[in-house]
Parts: sequence; C-alpha cells; structure tokens
Amino acid sequence: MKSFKKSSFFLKILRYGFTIFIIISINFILPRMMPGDPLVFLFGEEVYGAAIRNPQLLQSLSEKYGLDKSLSEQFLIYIGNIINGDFGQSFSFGRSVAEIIAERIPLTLMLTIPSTILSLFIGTLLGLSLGFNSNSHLKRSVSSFLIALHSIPSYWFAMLLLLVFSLWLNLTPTGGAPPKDANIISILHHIALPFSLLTILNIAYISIIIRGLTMEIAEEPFVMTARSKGLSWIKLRIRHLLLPSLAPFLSLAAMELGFAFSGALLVEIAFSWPGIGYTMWQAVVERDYPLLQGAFTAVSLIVVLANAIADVLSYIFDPRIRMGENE
Amino acid sequence: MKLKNEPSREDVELTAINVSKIYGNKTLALDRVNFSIKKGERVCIVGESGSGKTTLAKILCGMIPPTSGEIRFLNKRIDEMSEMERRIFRIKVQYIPQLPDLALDPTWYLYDSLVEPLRIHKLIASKQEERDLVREICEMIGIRMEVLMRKPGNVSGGELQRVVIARAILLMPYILIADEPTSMLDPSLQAKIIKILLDIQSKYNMGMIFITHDLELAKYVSNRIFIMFKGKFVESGLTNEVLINPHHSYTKSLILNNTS
Amino acid sequence: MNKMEIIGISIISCIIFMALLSFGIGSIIDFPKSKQYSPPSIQNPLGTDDLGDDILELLIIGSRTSLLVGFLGALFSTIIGTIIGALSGFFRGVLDDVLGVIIDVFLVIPALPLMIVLAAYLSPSFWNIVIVIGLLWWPTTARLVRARAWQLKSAPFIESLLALGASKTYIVFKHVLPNVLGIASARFILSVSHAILIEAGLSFIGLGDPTNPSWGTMLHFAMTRGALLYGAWWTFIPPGLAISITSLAFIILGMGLEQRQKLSTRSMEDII
Repeated sequence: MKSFKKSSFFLKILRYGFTIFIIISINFILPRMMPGDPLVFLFGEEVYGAAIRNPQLLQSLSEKYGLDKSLSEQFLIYIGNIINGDFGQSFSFGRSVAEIIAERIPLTLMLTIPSTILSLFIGTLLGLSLGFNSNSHLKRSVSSFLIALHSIPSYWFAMLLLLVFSLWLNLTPTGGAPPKDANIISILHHIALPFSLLTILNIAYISIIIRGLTMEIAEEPFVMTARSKGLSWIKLRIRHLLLPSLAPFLSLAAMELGFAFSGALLVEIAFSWPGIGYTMWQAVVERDYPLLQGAFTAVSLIVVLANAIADVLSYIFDPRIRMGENE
Repeated sequence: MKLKNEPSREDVELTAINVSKIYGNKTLALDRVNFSIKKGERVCIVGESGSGKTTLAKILCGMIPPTSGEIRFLNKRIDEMSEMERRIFRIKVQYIPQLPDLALDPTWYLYDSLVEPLRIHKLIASKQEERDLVREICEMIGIRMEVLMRKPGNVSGGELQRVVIARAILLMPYILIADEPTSMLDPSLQAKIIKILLDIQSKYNMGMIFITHDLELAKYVSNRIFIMFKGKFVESGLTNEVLINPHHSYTKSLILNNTS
Repeated sequence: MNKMEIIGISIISCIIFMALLSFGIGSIIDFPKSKQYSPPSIQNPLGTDDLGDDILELLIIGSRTSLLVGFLGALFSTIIGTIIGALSGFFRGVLDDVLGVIIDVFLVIPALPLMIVLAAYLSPSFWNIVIVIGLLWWPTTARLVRARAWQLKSAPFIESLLALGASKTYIVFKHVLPNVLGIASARFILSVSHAILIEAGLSFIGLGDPTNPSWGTMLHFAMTRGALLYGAWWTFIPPGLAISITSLAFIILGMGLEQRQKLSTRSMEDII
C-alpha cells in the first residue's frame, strides 16, 4: 500500500514535469504554426521589415534561432535557450524578456501572496461556518452573494472602485505602482485597492469550495455521532474537519494560488499595477510576442510550482497515514 | 420461444472446475473452487460478504474471466465456445445482481430495459409477440404494466427488483443465478420475492443458484448447499445434512450466530 | 421547474430579446448621436461615449456578440469535454491513460493566460474567440464526465449488458451518453456563464473582434480612451452590469439544473 502511494506520488511529480514540457512546446509551436513568417512573431514587424531589406541581418537572426534547421533541431536550440534563461528580446521594450519578467514578478507576488494567505484564512473560516447548518436563511443568502461575486468581471469591479475611491473620494491614486523609493505609507496607498479587490474575490472563491467540502463531511456518520455526543463546535471542526482535510486543503491552496494569479492578471491591468498581468496586456497591445510568451511561461511555471509544492506537502502531512498510526 | 440449435433440455449442466480468481493487487478471491449445478436443482452458496461468492457468481455467468480453471456449460469450456454456442450460453445462464440500484439504466423506461435483452439477441419477431410475452411474465411476477412506463428513479425497490427478475426470466434461462436478490428489501417484500423465484424455478424447471449470507433462507430454498469461507468451499452437501451435522468449525460458528 | 430555473430562464429570455432587438437597429429603432460623454438624458437614456455614440445602442449591439460567443464557445468546449471524458472513462487502458494525462495537464496550466496567448496569435475575430474558448475550456467538463463514465462502467446494468454480449459501441451510445447527458448539460449552462466572462475578458484586453463589438469591447474602450478618468460612469457601468447579470443568470439556471439532478439521484437512494 505504501509503495503504491509512493509510486503514484512520483507519477504526479513526473506529470508536472510533463506539464512544463507541454507549456514550452506550446510556446515553441505557436509562432511556427501560425500563417506567415515566424520571424514576425519572434522579432516584431519593424525588425522583420528591416531584416527583409537586409539579407545579412536576416541570415544572422535565422541562424541565432536556427530557423534554417529542421523543426526538431530548432526545438533543441529553443530548449537550450530557455535553460540558459534566454526568452528572447522584447521588441517593444528593446530589452531581454527575462530581465523585464524578473523585474515584474516581485510586484505580482507582492500582491498575490499576502492576498492568498489572508483569503485562505478568512475564506476557510467563512466556508466552515457556512457549511455547517447550511440551511439557515442568513447563511444561504451569504452563500448566494458569494456565488454572485463570481460572475462579476474583476476588472469592472476595479473600475467601480477607482471611480468611487479615486475619482469621487480622492482617497487613492488612479493606478500604477509606487515609485521605487516609496515609503511604506505610499506603498500601502497604492496597493490598497488592488489588494482589497483581489482578496475579496479570493475569499468568495475559497469559502464556496470549503463550504462544499464541509457540507459533504458534515453529512458523514462520524460527524453526526460526534455532534450527538456533544463535542464542542470548535473541537469538532478542528478534529474532524481540519485535520482530515489538510491534504485537500493544501491542494486547494495551490489551486487557489493559480486562480489568484489568473485573477490578478486582469485586476493588475485595470489598476495599471505593473506586474505580470499588466506586462501581458502591454505585450498584447504592442503584439510583442516574445514578451507575451515570457509572461505566460512565468505565470504557468509559478502555478505548476505551487501545485507541485502542495503535493509534496500533502504527501508529507498526509493525515490518512497519521490517523492510521493513531488507531 | 425456441432458439436455433437449442440443446435438448435434460442434459444442462453448469460446472466450475478448479476455478481461482486473483484480483490485480494480488488478493486471492477464489481458491481452486469446484462447483456444479444441473437443471431443476436449487443450490445455495452461503458466505459472509467478501468471501468470494459474488466473484464466483460473476465468473459462472461469464461476466469476468477466472484467473485459472475452467467454466463448462453443456460440456463445453465457455472460453472455447463458437459464436453460436456463446450466444446460447449468454441467453441461457442469467444473473440477477445484488443491488437494484443501477441494475437498470436510470435514463431508460423500464419497459425498454425489460425487453432490451430480447432485442439485443433478436429473439422476438414482432412487437405484438413482445408485448404478449411481457404481459405474461409480468402477470406471473406481479408487475403492474403501468410501472413499466416509468424510469427506475420513480418506482419502489420491490418493483425494481421484480423488473430485474422479469428481465432475466424473459430469456427463459436454464440456469438462474440470484445474488442476494432480497438483501436490500424489507422483510415482508423479501418473502414475496423469494416465493416468486421459487415458483418460477419449479414452473420452468430451472437450475437456480441462490447466493446469500442467510442460513435460514438457505434452509428454506435449497436442496444442496455450499459454505464459502475466504475464497474456498469449506463444506458442501445436502442442505439438511450439512446444517444438522456440520463438520467444519466455520459452518458451526455460522449456525451458532444464526440461531442466537 | 424549480425557482432557480425560473429566475435564470426569465433573465436569459430578456437578454435574448435584447440580442434580437439589435437586428432592428437603424430600421425599427434608432439612436441619435450626441456630443462626447453626454450624461444620461431623455434623448440618450444611458448617455454617450467618447465618440458621441449612444450607450444603450452599443449595449444592445454588444449583447448579440456576448451571448453568441458565450453560447458557441460553451457548446464546443462541452462537446469536446464530454467526448474526451466519456471515452477516457469508459475505455480503460492506454486510451484512458493518455487522455487522463492530457486532462490533468490542461487542468494545471492556467487557462486564461493561455487563452490570451492563443488569441493574440490568431487574428481577432468572432470565430477565433469561439475556437479559443472551445479548445481550452473543456478540462473541467472532461473530468466530471469522466468520473461519471467511470462510475457507470462498473454499474450492474452495464456489466449485465456486457455479459449479454452487447457491443461496446452500442453501450456507449445507448447507455453511457444518455447517462452523462445530465452532467454535460448542467456543465454546458455553467460554461456559457464562464464563456461570456472569458469573451468579455479577452475583449477588455483588446483581443476582441473589432467588427463585432461586445460588452467587453465597451469596457476596453472605457478603459483605454479615458472614460474612467473623465468620470463618465455611464459608459462602463451598464456593460459591466450586463455581463454580471447575464453570467449570473446562467449560473443560477445551471445550479437549478444541477439540483434537479441531485434530487433524482437522492430519491434513488431513498428507495433502497
């Protein structure tokens, strides 16, 4: 049994490796699959125009990316470049993609990680309390409200917040990141709106999932028995709910990080918060494909990594093994 | 209803010889089991859940293959049968599953589920013939025709179990395997269903295998009994003899538990 | 019909009516142009945008694209997800392993960024957005359908059909597909809601079809052409509200359908 668990664990990790491979392959295939010269996608219209007039430049660019070689050789060169941290040149910024991404990831993390931690905490408590005796009127309307939040576009929500807090009340800036040498007050001033919005959306997402899990577990016989034995709410929740669901909770946390990242993309755009999402937007506007792909790769890698870490953690903390020892 | 090449009815025998079954993760479900039943016999296989009785039942009717050993029907190994012989085996050995839940497709009307086996094997020439046969069988088993116009979600467990039985009987099997056919029903219904099964058995002179954990039931329905424990038959013989004078300690404990 | 289904269907009917109304613009109904950023008035009930175009008119035109893209994108993704899920769940072995890995991989890759990348490579058009949603929004559906098909595979009625000698193709078409249809249709309704939000998101970023403006396109222009900074709230509150209400209506309808499913299986359990 244990060896079986172990092997399925390694299979999972292997699967993440495969996922990364697929992400890189998608990035490789897309510019080469689309109609037109892949050079346009790799260097942008301007360079491409110049290169066509200058055969020597064209030659050197082609050679650098191995475009004159077979697809499989190109793929090897591509992977080699990525391993060396070379994601190409952003033609709208005129700098290397890796540099831009490295500059902007911290801004996204600054927004998403505290928001994820806070919303996991609040969302879990909220979800637990909504899941027990879920039929009460108040709890049902709160749940409905949280579900309704899912159908509000985050960027539109952001626009409303900007309208009220920046334009009408003049409390916050209309967007953008704090300047480089900003003090803590200024940082908080800038981050307040995007952080609050992201956290509200994350709480809505997490609490609905936790509520569902709780409602399932609350119907199980052992919880019923525990309740009839008069076990206090807090103890019951911790002993029968939090402990056994630690592993699913961790994978939820990882999924949630993925969700937070995707959600943060659009929130960043609306607040002009120059993280990865805003970078993707800039890349789309300029049709700066290398930058777009770099940003996509960065987001995906972070999400895959978060999932993998959660799997490792839930393997270490697997409560089924621990509970087996207790019995 | 007669099939082409239908065998003469008297020499029908279903046999398991040295049958073992090992499931994927190396659990031995059946360990060199020998078993046989002839037409007209009533045989009980008694054992606790997990003893391997359902596995044996499914192997006997060809639902799952044995890991080793052979199943013979009409003196022919079922894995060496021709298409024609296999078709006869599939029609003439019928299995009634344990759970009425999902025993029939929840999206189908009961009537369609009931006649589906007939249609799959194209045993019926006309709609009229089909309807007459259904009416006859339903009358015998006690199914009201309007029940057949519903889906499984809208009928009671007892009605569902009757339809499942009718579905097997429609094919006029020689051997009928009933796997705990009443374990999910309440006691008053149990007796009715058992009576229906016994009536059918004697009317068509079928061979019937009852699979149960209930010794009282076994005593009531069967002439011969097999006691199964951890994938083996620990004792077998005439029901009365085995139950009055058990040899194996497991049988003794079963009898003790049953009377207490 | 339960209460949720009635609410959902009523709202959706209104939106469909609005979309049909868009075909009458210019002939049956007409919206006068006005000066830039006029606030709501009798002449322009929802005001005008930076070009002086009537917001209500844009809203009605936008409903067509939003609804159609949502519907078609959801349809394609549900069909793909149902087929992959049913095949993977019912046929075990290599096919299931391969499809299972594909499902898992696409569940992990964040969908929205991938859609942005794909949409940026394809030229922005109505059908390309439908294709992007169809190609990338199926994994959850596939996972749910697969779990159901997996369950069915060991259901007694399937086992007995196999023992009766029914062919696998017969079983898949006559029994497996009807049984996953309930889940697939509930998923389809929820997917319409998601697809409407995705289309709006892609259009907001600027990847929408310029010739078929949607509600997302209106938000895109409000953001990029300065309506927000001008304080012209009437330009972006209506389309955002429309997206939210429509998407919510489909969620409510989907939950209503799901509840009905649960009820039917629940009553099933009660019998036994």
